[in-house]
Amino acid sequence: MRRHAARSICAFIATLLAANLALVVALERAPPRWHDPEYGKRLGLLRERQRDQPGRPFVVALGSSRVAIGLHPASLPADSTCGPVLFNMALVGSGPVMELICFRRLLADGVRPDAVLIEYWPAFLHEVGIYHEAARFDLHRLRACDERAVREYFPDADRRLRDWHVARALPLRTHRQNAWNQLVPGGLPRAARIDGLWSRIDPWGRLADRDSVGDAERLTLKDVHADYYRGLFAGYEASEVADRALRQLLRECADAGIPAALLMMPDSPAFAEWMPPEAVRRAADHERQLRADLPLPVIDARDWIAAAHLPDRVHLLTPGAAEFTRRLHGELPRVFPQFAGPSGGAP
Amino acid sequence: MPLFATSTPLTADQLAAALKAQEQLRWAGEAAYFRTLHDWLPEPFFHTESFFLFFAAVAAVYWAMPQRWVAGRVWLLVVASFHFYAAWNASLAFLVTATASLDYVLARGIEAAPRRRVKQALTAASVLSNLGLLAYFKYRGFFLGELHDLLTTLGGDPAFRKLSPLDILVPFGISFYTFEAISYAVDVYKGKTRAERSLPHFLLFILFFPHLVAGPIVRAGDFLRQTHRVKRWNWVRVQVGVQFFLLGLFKKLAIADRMAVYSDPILSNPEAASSGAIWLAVLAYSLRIYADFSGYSDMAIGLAHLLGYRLVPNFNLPYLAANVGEFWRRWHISLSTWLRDYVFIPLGGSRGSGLATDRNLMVTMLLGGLWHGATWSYVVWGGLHGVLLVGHRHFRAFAAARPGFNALLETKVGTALRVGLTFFAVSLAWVFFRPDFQSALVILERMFQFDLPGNPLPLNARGLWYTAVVVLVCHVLAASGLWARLWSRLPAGAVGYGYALVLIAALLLAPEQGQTFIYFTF
Repeated sequence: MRRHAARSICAFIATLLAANLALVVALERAPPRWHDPEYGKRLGLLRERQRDQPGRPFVVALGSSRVAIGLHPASLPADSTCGPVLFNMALVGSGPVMELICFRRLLADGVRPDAVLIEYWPAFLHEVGIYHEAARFDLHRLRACDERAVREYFPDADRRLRDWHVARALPLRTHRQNAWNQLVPGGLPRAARIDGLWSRIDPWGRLADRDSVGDAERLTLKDVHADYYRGLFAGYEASEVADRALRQLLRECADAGIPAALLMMPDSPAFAEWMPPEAVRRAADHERQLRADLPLPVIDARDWIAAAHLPDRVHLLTPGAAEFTRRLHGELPRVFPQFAGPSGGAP
Repeated sequence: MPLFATSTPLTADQLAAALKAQEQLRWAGEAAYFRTLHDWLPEPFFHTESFFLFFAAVAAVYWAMPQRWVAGRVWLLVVASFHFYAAWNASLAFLVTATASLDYVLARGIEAAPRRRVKQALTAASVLSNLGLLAYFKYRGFFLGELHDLLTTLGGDPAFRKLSPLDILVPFGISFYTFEAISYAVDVYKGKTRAERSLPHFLLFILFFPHLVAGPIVRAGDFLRQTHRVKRWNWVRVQVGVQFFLLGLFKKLAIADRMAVYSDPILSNPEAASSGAIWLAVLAYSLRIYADFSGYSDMAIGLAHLLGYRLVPNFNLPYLAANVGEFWRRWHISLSTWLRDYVFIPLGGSRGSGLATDRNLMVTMLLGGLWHGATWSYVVWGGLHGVLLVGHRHFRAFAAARPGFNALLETKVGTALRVGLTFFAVSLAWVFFRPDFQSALVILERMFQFDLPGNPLPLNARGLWYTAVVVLVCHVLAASGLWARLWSRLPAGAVGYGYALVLIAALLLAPEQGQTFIYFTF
């Protein structure tokens, strides 16, 4: 009886340790999708598109949800078989730090874009308190290749990395919500569901969103982000962290021989109502300084699209995204002259 | 989370913000030692990683001590229990320790007193000090609020304000340890139990952390004997402890917390919910209450076993009860037997006339309801159970006089119908097992209008039905003894593998936002 009990307990502990170890090993070797489904799904799609379009140059866009929703490569004419191929690699919530993480991940995962478009948006340069990108980036999405960025740009990096290492060592507990969201999202309450971040990604990486809004919804959407951005701009500054990350990203693009351009997404004039004059001045100062320091191409699309296409003042409706993407695609040969010509610069 | 008893309404956001601010203020005033303790063990819940580390450390030192050091081990558990409570609230930990010490002294006096009157006076002092503690912390807001309303209604000036939730901090587990102390004093007075000679042993009886905050309510005669025994490492006992703990953890994480996802949004805002959603939310709430409290009790029993102690079983498949009397013999057994021994029987029990028995049942259940919470809804809940018990008593007499009908009730179909009816009645009564009386009325009103439109369940109901079926099947397997037979024949490896599966399933099924234990509020 006692021997049976002792063996049962030993078997319990051994099984638990073995299961945990197996999961640790499996997750370490698992495709990126298991850690970060939003990134992982786009990576898989990007590889597929590269296979579909061999020899054509790929321009990959990095940025926030504004890019994720607003850049719509699938809307480009199907017969556009020449010129560079646009792919939407934006991650919701991205500022310069997450853009840098995403770029480094692409290289680590063996994907080398032919050029990158990097969203430049003053709002997400304010990396302070709850507005820091670290607050928008779930610890469990981290991969080993992100460790350097965390050390360089995240506040309280040692604690975050310690928590992350503990989480890595106990995946049974820490990855369960991720697993639920990927496997049985319907079993989660609405507040716990994050699968919308990747389940609505189309084959070109765009996060599908509203095609249109009614008058009533337009009124509701108008101020849906007001509290967040008013709070953000109340003590606005273009943070040193964001500036450093952006410059580092551009430096690493140059080091890798990948041409880069800054992309300023379409803005709604109404968005500026949330910005006090001091914030407007500081944002303009940073942009001016950056342009002076780094003579790189900039696509300024801020006034390309009518405000009616930005009902929440931040994100484009699908028709607006299509219009923006068409115009952006036309701009690419100007920004990246190496892709001009009938073959799109293909060898 | 601190718990408050009040009748003054505050919005959830206001209350949360005020509580947070109050907590920060309170901890800022505590000694640095206790602040550090709080950082290490912020919640007195058994299903947290910090508690796991705390318990592992305590158990390691406990079993590393030579087994002859009985007093040393008792001291260790007293100190650990004190720290367990002090990590939540240091001042109240001192208060609980002080009142327990007073009970110890009074009990020694009761036993030593030569005259009956002195014994009675000391017993009354012990009982009243504990009831006073309970009344001050738990019922002060309720009774002052009611008095305030009454005086205002009569046109008088109350000359005092109603207490807000922030005025009243209810110590965790106060209803449990005060009942333990009261039963101890009464048992010593009656000569059923000898007064404990050793203070640390008595403190351990009250403070023992597995049962401190939510029971089971232990009896001195049962527990104190164990504190004096030499504890030897026993693999069988460890296995029993692990098994109870894992079962409790599964009930808590995989059932109770998941069911809360279905029930809470609906029952906290019933005006906006459809009738169908409310029915399903009440079912989820029934499952949640059972899994939550029996899960906690199982974990407490398991932890006690891992330290060599045996706590009384608190649940015995209550939803298989065929009548409400049986339900109370299976549900929260340590409370129902306490109420039977210290309220119902002293009132006269069932020895008097039928009417007196009915009265005693009603009084006992009303007090039982009030024990759970200082609001009218808990009193109504207790009263409903009183009515059900009285009704069942009369129905039983009616059926006993009709052998044919009685035989029909005892058939398998008859029993299944009685079980179903009992579950239905108990579930309806659970509607009042929440602090807000008005919401309970709205819930019942909307339930019985059957087809009112409104918000659906926050999640697909499939998960709720699966859970209900799993709970039912497990109940039936356990009641038939099949589960125990199967388990005892499995090879050790398979048993250990089964434990691991249970733990993994509990971790996977737990919602991200865990819930507090319902019974911590009592």
